[in-house]
Amino acid sequence: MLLLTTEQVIALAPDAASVKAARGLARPGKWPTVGQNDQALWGECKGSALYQVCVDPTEPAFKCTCPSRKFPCKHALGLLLFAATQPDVVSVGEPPVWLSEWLAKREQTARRKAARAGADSDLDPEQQAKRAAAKDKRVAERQRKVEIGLEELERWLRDLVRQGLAHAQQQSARYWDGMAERLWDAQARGLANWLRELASIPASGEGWGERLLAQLGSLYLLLEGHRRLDVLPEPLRADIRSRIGWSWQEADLPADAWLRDRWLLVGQRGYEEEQMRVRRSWLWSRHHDRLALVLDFAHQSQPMPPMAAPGSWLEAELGFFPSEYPQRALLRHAVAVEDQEMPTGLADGAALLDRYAAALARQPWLAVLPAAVAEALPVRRESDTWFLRDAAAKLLPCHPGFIETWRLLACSGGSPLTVFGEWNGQQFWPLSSWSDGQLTAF
Amino acid sequence: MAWRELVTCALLGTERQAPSVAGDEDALGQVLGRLDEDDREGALLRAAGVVALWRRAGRRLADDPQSPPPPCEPDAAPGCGRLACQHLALLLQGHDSELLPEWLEALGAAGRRVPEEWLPALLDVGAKQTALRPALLPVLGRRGHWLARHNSDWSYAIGTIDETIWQTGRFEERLALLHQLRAFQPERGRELLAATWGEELVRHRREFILVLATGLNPADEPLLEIALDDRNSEVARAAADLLARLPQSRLSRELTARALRLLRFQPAGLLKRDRLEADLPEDEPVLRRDGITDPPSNVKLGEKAWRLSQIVAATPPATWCREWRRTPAEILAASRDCEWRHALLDGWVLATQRHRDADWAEALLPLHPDHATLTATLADVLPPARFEAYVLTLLREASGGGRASALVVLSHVERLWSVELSRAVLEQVRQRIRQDKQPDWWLASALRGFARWLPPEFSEEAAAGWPTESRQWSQWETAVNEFLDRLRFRRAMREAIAQ
Repeated sequence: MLLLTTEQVIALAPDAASVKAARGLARPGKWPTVGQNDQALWGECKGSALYQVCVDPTEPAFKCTCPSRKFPCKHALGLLLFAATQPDVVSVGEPPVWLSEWLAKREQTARRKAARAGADSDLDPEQQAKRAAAKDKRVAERQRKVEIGLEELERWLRDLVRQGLAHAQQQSARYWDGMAERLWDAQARGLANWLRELASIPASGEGWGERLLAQLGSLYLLLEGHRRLDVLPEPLRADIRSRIGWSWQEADLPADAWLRDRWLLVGQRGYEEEQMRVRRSWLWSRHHDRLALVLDFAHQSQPMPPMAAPGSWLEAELGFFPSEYPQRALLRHAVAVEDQEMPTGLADGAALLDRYAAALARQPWLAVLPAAVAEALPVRRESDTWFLRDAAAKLLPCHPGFIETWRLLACSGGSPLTVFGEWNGQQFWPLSSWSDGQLTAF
Repeated sequence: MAWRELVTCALLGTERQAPSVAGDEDALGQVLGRLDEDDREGALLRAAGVVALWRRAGRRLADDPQSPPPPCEPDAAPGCGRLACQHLALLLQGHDSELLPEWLEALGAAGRRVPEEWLPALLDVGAKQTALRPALLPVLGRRGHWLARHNSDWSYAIGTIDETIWQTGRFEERLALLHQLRAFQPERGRELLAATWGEELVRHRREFILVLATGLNPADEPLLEIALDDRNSEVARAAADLLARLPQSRLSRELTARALRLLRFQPAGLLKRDRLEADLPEDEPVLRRDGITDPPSNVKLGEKAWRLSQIVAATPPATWCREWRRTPAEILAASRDCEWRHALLDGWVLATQRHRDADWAEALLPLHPDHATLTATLADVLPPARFEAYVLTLLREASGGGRASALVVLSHVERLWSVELSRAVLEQVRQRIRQDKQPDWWLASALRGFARWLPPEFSEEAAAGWPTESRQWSQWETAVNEFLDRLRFRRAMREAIAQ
């Protein structure tokens, strides 16, 4: 069975206290019985009572008889940590009765769910029409809300430049937050988040006016585009709608959006946004040389959906959202596999910039371009600024938010390596690096 | 199209200035030319959007004006496997972090080095915990030393010694340099310190002089003699302490001569046992210079008795055996009726520590059964075999007192145990549980510490034979399980490194 690494287990935890508690439980003395088979990992944990814990690490699903409201609880995390650090002790064996019950129940639920999904298409035409009509109504309702929000945003933008950016700089955080909140309520969440990012620019020092204006201009062009949505080609229309905040469900994606291949999880990054934890995973398709971005979200106290560790391979289908420059995708039918290949890096920074310019020409609101750059040498310069020095001795600035610079330098040892990361037009955020096929994730 | 002008206009606001969006004859200019200038806000925002995108797409990278630092030579030693890294991750997150030195030592013993990506985290720990450095430095590999050169916080790990730090570095860096030099080239360290001694600040002098304990040798005497005259009493006292550890130093010889005059040994006669008598020394300026000053407030001895104890403490304890042809035990017996016995004992204990005299340590140990830390300090002077023999004797004593003090000693001394000792200690703990006594909280927590010193391969045997039927077992269970877990973790950790 595929066991999780320490880092992956920690990423599943709802908070730091759970990690700490789980560390205390990751020891044999706490587990009078413990075992695994190809479906699950189980154990009995000695707490204030004897708790029965089982985990299916691939999904992952958790079950524990303890009364904790946290999910997953410290016992489930402790069991996973224990298995990560002392795999020998967790021997393969026959599952106890209570585990078989849990597995049977899960199988039943899965069957019911599948049956329900199947039933949907079995509905008579009248009911189907009814459902479709209800859905259309919801979409129209949202569309109306979004349009009102966008109109207000346009007025707000015009007011802003009429009074001047210098005037906006004097405003309190409320000025930006207020508009962001109204967009959030109008279900234009992509724009709400964009506005919240803008709010930090006026206090970002030298050159803030220029940076702010560039963003405001781009935002305004998006509004213009939305106004003329009818005359734009479909993929670009989808890009505009995505940027505003519409997203795609698995069922909405056309069949040809799905690409089945072996995928290398080449980089991953987590951050927090609006009380949500977000995880970005970049997957590289071995036979099509494409990159896909899978986003996962979790509320503060909820576990992140599981994802393999960077450097691992998946045989899976990825469904790309419609776009002029497709990146965002949904992942399904993933199975862990073994493979070796690594993506070939771009020759130098100029090649990266060329690719970026070509991408912008197709999708002007592109947030980041993922790419591997070969022959990149991490270098540190005055006042702790970091760069990647490329094969042509040009400097690619590292993103100031990237804090693993020393690990990157340690991996390079002063020799160039291939660095994979996100280019936002100004800075590069390294997510992994390799030389001799050995991937290190940051 | 001038981007600057657009920015200026935007900063001021279109109510004060109209944007001029006319462009050149190029493609960009054509797009801008189509904008409606009468709609000032719209024209400014649209132009900004277009020009910003144009600039973003046309960006070029700057040339690197410098040449990169030289790369690191390849390392021959292998790193370690995934499981070993998982253990390291746990240790670095504060799970059993006391085991980190053991992990590092095991790595070194296996001829391996720290995998590159873990170097920064470990170098950070080493920067904060000097005690970790002896275990860390040998497993950093070339890559680690190379990396340390790029971050001043890690200068302790550069590997080659850079003496210019002594002239130009911060105090902490200079202290680290002196530590390093004293470990490998003590003479060179002393030379550097002697050259700048007169210019050092008082608080720095105090720290520097303490470092000389590492690599202490007779050639240090001239510098220590200068420090003895330091205006700061702490510097002078530290120097006197070091001089007392050098048997051939002027201070040690003079005080030894004085001690021999103060103590009178009367060998046994026909009916009499050996007897030892002592005179008390007067206060003299020469004594004060040699660190024999007023007693600190926490000392129970009187002024003169204190002086006596300090003079005895500056005398190598072997001196007495040679002079009186008696073993330490016989000398201690002879001192039994001496009026100033307490002063003598204090002096002998300190002298034993200073000269790490195992014979005297063995003789002194039974005299202080209740003084835990003192017992531990003396036991620590013993070489491994004699240390174990001593503790085993205590453990096998019929009286509870001996067994109790054995456990106290073991909880204070940081050494690996033999299988025999491990077995005896665990048997002792099991017996306590069987005796149905109230759980001893001290022992329960000491047990956790013991897990660091047992041989890891002993973990299976250690798990068996616990009196789980005993009535008190539930009170002990947690502590025993934690102890066993830790022992097993150490075993798993070592096995993973060896793989």
